[in-house]
Amino acid sequence: MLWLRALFFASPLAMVLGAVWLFDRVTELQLSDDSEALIYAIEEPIGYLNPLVPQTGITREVTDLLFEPLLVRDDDLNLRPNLIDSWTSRTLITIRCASEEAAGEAESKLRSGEYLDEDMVVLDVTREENVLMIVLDGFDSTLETRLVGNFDPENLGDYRLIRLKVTNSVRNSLEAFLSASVEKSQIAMLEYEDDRTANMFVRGDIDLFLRELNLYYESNASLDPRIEEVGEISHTSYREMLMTLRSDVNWHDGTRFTVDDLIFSYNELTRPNSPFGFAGSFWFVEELKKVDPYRLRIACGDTPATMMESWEKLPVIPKHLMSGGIENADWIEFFRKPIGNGPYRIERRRRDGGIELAANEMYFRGPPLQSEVIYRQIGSLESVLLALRADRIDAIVPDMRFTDWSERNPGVMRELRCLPRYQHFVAWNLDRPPLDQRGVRIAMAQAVDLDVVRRDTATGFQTPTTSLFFPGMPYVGDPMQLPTHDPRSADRDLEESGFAMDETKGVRVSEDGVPLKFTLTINEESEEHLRMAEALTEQWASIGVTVVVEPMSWSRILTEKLVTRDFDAVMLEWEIPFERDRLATWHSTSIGAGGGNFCGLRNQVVDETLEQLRYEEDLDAVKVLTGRLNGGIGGLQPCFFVCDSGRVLSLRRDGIEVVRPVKNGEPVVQPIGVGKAGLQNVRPWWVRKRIVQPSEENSPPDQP
Amino acid sequence: MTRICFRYLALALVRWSGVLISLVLLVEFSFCVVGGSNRHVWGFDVYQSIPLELSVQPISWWELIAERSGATLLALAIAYGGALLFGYAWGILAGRFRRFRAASIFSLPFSLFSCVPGFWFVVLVAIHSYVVWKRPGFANELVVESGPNLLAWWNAAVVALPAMAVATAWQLRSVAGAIENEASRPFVKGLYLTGYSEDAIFYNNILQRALPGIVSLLDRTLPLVLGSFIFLEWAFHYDGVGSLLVESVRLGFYPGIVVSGMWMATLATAVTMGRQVVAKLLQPVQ
Amino acid sequence: MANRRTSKLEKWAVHALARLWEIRNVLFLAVPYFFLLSWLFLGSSSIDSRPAEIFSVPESPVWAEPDSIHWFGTTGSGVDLFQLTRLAMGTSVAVAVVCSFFGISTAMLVVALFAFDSSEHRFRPIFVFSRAGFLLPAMAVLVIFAGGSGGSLPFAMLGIIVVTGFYLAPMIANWFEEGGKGPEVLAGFGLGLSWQDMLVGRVLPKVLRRLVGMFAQLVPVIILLEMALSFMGFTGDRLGVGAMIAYGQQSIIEAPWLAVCPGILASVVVAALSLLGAMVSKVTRSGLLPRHF
Repeated sequence: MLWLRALFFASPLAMVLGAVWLFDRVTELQLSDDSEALIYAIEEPIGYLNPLVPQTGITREVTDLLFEPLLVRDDDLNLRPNLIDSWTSRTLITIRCASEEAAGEAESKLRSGEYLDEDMVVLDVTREENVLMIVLDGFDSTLETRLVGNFDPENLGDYRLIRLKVTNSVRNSLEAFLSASVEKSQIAMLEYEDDRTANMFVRGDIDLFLRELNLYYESNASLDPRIEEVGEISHTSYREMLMTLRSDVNWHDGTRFTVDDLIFSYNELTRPNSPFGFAGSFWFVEELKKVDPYRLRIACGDTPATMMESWEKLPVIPKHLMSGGIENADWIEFFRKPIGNGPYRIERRRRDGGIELAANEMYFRGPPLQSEVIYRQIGSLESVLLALRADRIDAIVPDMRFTDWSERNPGVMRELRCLPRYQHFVAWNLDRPPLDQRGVRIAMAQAVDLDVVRRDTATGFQTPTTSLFFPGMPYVGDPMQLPTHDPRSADRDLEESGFAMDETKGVRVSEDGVPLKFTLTINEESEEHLRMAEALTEQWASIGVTVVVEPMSWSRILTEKLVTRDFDAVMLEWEIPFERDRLATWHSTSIGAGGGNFCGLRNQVVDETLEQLRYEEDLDAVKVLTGRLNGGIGGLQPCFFVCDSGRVLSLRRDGIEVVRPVKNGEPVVQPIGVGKAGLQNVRPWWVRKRIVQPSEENSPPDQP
Repeated sequence: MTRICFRYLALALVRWSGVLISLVLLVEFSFCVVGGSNRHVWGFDVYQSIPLELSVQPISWWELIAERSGATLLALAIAYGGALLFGYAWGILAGRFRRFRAASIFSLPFSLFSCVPGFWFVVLVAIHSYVVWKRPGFANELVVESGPNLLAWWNAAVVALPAMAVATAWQLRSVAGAIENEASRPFVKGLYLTGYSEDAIFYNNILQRALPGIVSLLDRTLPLVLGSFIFLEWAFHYDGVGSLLVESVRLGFYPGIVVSGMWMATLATAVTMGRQVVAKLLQPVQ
Repeated sequence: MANRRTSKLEKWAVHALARLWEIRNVLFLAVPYFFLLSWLFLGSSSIDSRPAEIFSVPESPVWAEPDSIHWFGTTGSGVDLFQLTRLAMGTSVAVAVVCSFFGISTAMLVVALFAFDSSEHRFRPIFVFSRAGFLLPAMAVLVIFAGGSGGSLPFAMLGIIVVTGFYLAPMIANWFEEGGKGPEVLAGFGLGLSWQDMLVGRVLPKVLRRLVGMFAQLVPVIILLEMALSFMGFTGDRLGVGAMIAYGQQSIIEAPWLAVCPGILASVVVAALSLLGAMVSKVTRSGLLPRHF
């Protein structure tokens, strides 16, 4: 029993020995050696890597490394091919001649160039009986008019075009009509544009025919028929684009990127109930047709000059992984570790919320020289400093403490400012008093000293808003002139708008005694918007305007405020796009469900400018239009523009350089910078400079 | 046996329910009545998704509780297990050598260590790691991505040690005190005079008679250890139930407060119930 | 040899020495208390006592490592850390003394509500309520109350007082029960004294003597509680050792002494008060104090 007692009393010592052993082992623990990887210290965990939704910050940066866009901007911000290798646009004109002989004569004159203007380039001419089909290069909307105008009138057939449009299956209903029709002999030619539209070229007395046609379709009202007598036309035209994709692009799992992926992505993102909002950008597309795995034919109902900007925006996702009736949960899981086609692929998600990326060896531009990139979440400034001292960190998303430390210890880090591509503004509801009055809106802008509101933070900087368009774009004309800080003018404008200051209460009241007051809705998850709202409220209070700040979740703002336009003012933020087409944001037809004109701006000059901007091809004319739009919005003040903001990164000084691989050539080395098109263009080419040890500096170079 | 268990189970449930009601009332009183918050405990908007500040990744309630419980239970096993091991083993030994004031001597290092603020101790450990080992020192700064997770044991041990010291000091003195109480009864003198040996008197009489009293001390240090974990986990950035309570209080996240508080209360209730059953079974039949 | 008449002064001196010898235990304990508390409370109070101001790191910090002039080093703005720590400890001790006093008073008040009832299970409500209440750690209650009420010192003190009273009430009730079963009480019953007379005349003095020891032992515990709450930021923006260590954490790499040194003084003071408290408790329980204490 003595030994049992001794064991019992000595048992706590086992715990002491265990503790000593643990201490010993922990002392020997080493950090993993990631010396070759480019290590990024991040503040927050990386979320879902979904290119289909707007993203910001590090999650956006990683998503851009994983997914390649269809088109890119070069250093002059011009659109350049990327996954789309080339594109051509064609206008197909079908001309109905008076007779076969007339068609033959017209064909020979076409081939000799007699009917052609200088800018017309004929790609192909075919003749079938009395019908000529001519393919011209380009989308010029005047092409068919000019070409037909160049024809000898006697060669052209004298037809009248009757266009029939129904909801669907026009062929079935029309053939049923024709089988029983008495007047069908009037129809010289019949052409089906698509499943809903039929073009009938008729000759002679067409009144009876039209009557018969109308009677028939009135009894088929469910088809919602529309019969239009277009006029004396002997031609139809059809525009299409032929897009060729690169044939050397692979998804990260080795599957080839083809037209099927593009068509799948397009269909998913533009279908009627799609939550992603791309449908409005592709109104001009009538049909997509696969020609072969790398060529796509796009039938265009309209030919805006901004077509390629729409394709630039479209993200592509792999059809072989995402099609086939997958569930929502599968989509979510996919975007946790997506398969993309960009320069980097996901190696694994880290337990600390970071991510490890590896260079994509199959990348079509050549794999990045930096083979590994690690995004790590580091919990404290102390760990960051330790890692900096040991050269285990190359880039940092800074917080205030780190920024303070780097100010106290200059020379260690270098600040990199990305482009200010996020715009923060207060959207007014122009259908609600008192903000329906321009004078009030101008006064609200004049009352605020934005230098006081704007503030640089550890992770971002803020600059004055100067334009609606992406900074540095070649098509941008005059900048946006916004009201300057002028409290006296603000007072005067409010007085003129009927809001006098009640000195006893210190608030503005209307002639009816109603105080000037409105509610400002903000996103409760945005600390910066909360701060801005408080600063603005304070300044507006100084001119007697009472503002009630209403924080709300983003989903509620979307559903309860923006969609229904049930708000006075709401503070929003958007990413400034590359595109110049802003019809969806400012045109009067975009007010209401599905539209982006939350403010409810209705202005004829703005509407006309937006419509012209869509179609204008001449760069100088575009500059004038963009300048006019900037001026119009700046003058009308449908929004109060607070600032533009951009990200700030902290890089280890002389730690990173930019090395772009060149096929069959020497890589091009550049100093670190952002470039006109933004960080996403240079980020894949960041390479960690190897820290050279003193002994290596003195040792002779390796002999080949 | 079954009747005893059911009786104490019913008692435990009544106490547990009382604690739940008290906790909810405490939250409402503290935040709304005194703190002036507009968000009441019964408000639906309070029970939203878990704030991102509480977890590195988007996480469900069950995953959050499982993760935090695992971490705290590991530290608790070390602290509470250590307190019971040291407390009972060396408490009985101190009772045996009561003439030499063994209780004071054995408990002295633990008592002295108890005077050190626990949160300061864990910060010292972190500083040591930064300065001497050149490694991040706090629990959430290094994540073992592969291989055996020795670091998890180290972090749990650092959090457990200050709590264990306080609990051990109390447990040791209480066990020794219970034995000394029993040893001061008149029958002991009688046994000495009769000629029994010191060992025989102690192990066969004093200890056996003191056993029910010693067993009743089984659960006394658990609330103390759990309470210490609240600030120790928070100080060391250790993601356990204690730090969940502090983080939830700072965020005003009522579900987190109630869940973490009731987690501790549930554990204490279960251990107390176990102790009561064991003490009842050890009670001599009248 | 004839009787020598002793002078009055001599008599007085002998009497005084005898009394001093009688109360030697009290003196032995009171003197270190006096010196310790004087040293703590007489520290400089001209320093701005808001930690956010004291520990804000300027662009060119002038902190100095511990040396012979600044034993604990200095902060980034050049303030002597030792003086700051002394000031903070003084505040903590003052808070602990006040909370201990009112906590014990609260417990006594609660017990007194039931003590004058002569029934056998008069303290049952206290025991039943406390058995349920002990299931939730006191620290949890303090954190919720102090944090929910906005994190200010008055509310933190109120929470400590209530929790202390809650935890001490059953202990004091036990003392009353033990005292009520003592031989002198039984003798009193035999003499026909009323329960109130015996409670006031025989039980209460013993309980009050033990309260002195309880008070002395409680002070260091509450100091640790207050420091923990201060570390977590639940005592407002005021100087406390916990807050100093919390702020010192922000400069662990550049100035580790900001987090290390305050804890050293805090540990020493708490250890000293614990030791003194244990001795006071032992002395009051074992009856070594003179009868007029």
